[in-house]
Amino acid sequence: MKLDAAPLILAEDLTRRFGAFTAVDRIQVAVHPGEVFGLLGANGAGKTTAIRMLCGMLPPTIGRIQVAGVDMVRHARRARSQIGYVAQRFSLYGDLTVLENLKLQAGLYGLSGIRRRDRIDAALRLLNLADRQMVMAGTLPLGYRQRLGLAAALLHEPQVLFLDEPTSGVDPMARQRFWELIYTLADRGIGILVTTHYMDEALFCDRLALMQAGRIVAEGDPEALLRRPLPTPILALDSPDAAVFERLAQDWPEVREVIPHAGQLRIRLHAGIDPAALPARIEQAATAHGLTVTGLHPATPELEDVFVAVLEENDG
Amino acid sequence: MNAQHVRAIARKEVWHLLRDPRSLALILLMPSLLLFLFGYAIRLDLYEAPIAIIQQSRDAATEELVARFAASRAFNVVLRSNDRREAAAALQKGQVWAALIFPPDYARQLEHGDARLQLLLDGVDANTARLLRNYTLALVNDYLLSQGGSPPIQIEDRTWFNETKESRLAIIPGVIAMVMAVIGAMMTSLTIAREMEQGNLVMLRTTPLTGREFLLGKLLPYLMIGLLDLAVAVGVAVWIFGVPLRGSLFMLLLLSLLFLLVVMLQGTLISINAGNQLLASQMAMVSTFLPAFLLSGFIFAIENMPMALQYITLIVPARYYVALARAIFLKGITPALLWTQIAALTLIALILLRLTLVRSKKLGLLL
Repeated sequence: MKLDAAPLILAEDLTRRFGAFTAVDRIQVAVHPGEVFGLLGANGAGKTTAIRMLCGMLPPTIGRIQVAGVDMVRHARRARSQIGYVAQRFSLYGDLTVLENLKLQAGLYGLSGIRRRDRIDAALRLLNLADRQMVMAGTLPLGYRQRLGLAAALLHEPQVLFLDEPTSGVDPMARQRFWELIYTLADRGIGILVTTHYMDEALFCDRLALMQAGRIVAEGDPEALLRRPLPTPILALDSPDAAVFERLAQDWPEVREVIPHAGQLRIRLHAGIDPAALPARIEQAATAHGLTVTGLHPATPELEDVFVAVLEENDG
Repeated sequence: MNAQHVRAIARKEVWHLLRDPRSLALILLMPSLLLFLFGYAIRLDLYEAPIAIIQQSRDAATEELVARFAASRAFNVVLRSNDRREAAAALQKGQVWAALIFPPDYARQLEHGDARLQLLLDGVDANTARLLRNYTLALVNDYLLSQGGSPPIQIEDRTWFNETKESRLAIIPGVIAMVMAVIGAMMTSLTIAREMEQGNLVMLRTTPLTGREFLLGKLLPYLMIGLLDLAVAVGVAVWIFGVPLRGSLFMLLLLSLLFLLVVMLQGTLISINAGNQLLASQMAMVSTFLPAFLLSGFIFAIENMPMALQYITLIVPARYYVALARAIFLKGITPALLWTQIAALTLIALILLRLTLVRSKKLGLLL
């Protein structure tokens, strides 16, 4: 990642209104060469509208977009020749073969002759599709289709790659491989913007922005986000009787939420509650019901906890 | 406009077509199918129509006219009698479609130049009745003229450009128009609607492809197929149905291209508004096939329609193409004489193109 270089994706005050509804509200995005930038948010938070504007599919109501130094609004065609885009849904042609789809893309990006052949070969190799080039794209398994989408998006060697929920529905192994590819591409200096709602995937990003109601409500690299103090403390309880504790804890006034998680019980307290109040409760319950407690300590915050806290703060 | 982009889209479209042999076969066979169907099924001529002749005297003058009816290919005299009640009964049963009744003093009337024949028509099929009447009048007039006598009834019966009075000759150029309309609109509306359904357009919009390039690339292969269809249709028309091609084949091709462009733009506009294949194909059918069939003047003369309907036909592209195709086939006149029809088609094409581009931009489909 070269932060000193000019950003490959730059959006300033990006806003899109549909009538009275503001789908995206003054967001700022800067993605640098080699950076993997993650856009997170629930459905309807504005991720899709944002990525559609950044790709030049939807003109913004207000705001400026530059992609690889080209103004996306005023010079859409030139800007689009710098980007690769992989849609969430497979959007190539199912009744064409893998090779035909790639040839079509090559034509649309102005590749011809030897360069076209070289680029198609390279994309087939990179995405491990060489032995499937004569297969109808529509009959490929989902993971392969996703890779074909990426191959098509990479043919013209774009400087910027947009991935809209690229791994939804793909099995974990294929997801893992897909992310390895994304890193390979980032290492080549491509700026990558990816939307996702998988928290574990979000951790793979160099930088994250969380969207809510059209705004970016939190932004930073995953570690920095995890270091943010949580307004609602979380305790982790280890106990063979976790199930019983789960039921009991629901009724304690300090407790906001009880989440069973990886054999532990994560107990989230209301904002402003001192976590020191809880051990006494737990001990009391253990004695009263004959339960065992093997450990109780402040939980290591996870990305999801951070985001839940941020979203609640904004809602309140 | 980038030629390489257009080529990429056009080539993709050809792959789609080759991938789908059933549609391809349909597209290529439909013209011949429709031509045979309409060429043979729709007959606006009279052929061997059963009639009755009632003669109450057996004089030479009567016999001569009766012989003419008997010899005509239009009529088949199945009943001869001197009792008009028999004729009435035969009409009632549908055994004859018409009865021609000679008065007893026909010969004398004829001499005075005041002959009166009575024609009874079965009006159940009004169209056939009208045909029978016209054919009868024509035959009688012919006879009287050949006798050098002044006709008792004044009838203008001369059919230009269709000397044999075969309606087929006029219908077939119309069928060609209909085939072009249906194929053009159906093919384009289906394929674009499919691309919308499958999200392909979304992907295309992130590439440097422009809306115009997309449209052109998309329509080119179908224009070619349309021309192929036209060639088949013209071949069938000329060699099988014996329709004369008196005008220039080149002009016919050129004007057909214009008409194809119009119906394809119509199909495109329909599909971007419909958004799915089922609705698009239904809308294409209703908005192209039916007007081309009913309002183009191909079977039903526009001049005979109520005024309101006549005005509606002004926006039916097939109307202009039918007129042009007939003129080129049958009259062989130069299309320059038909510049209003050509101008109307061109105007419709330009309006549709504009609407398509504006609408697709508004819907955010193509940029």
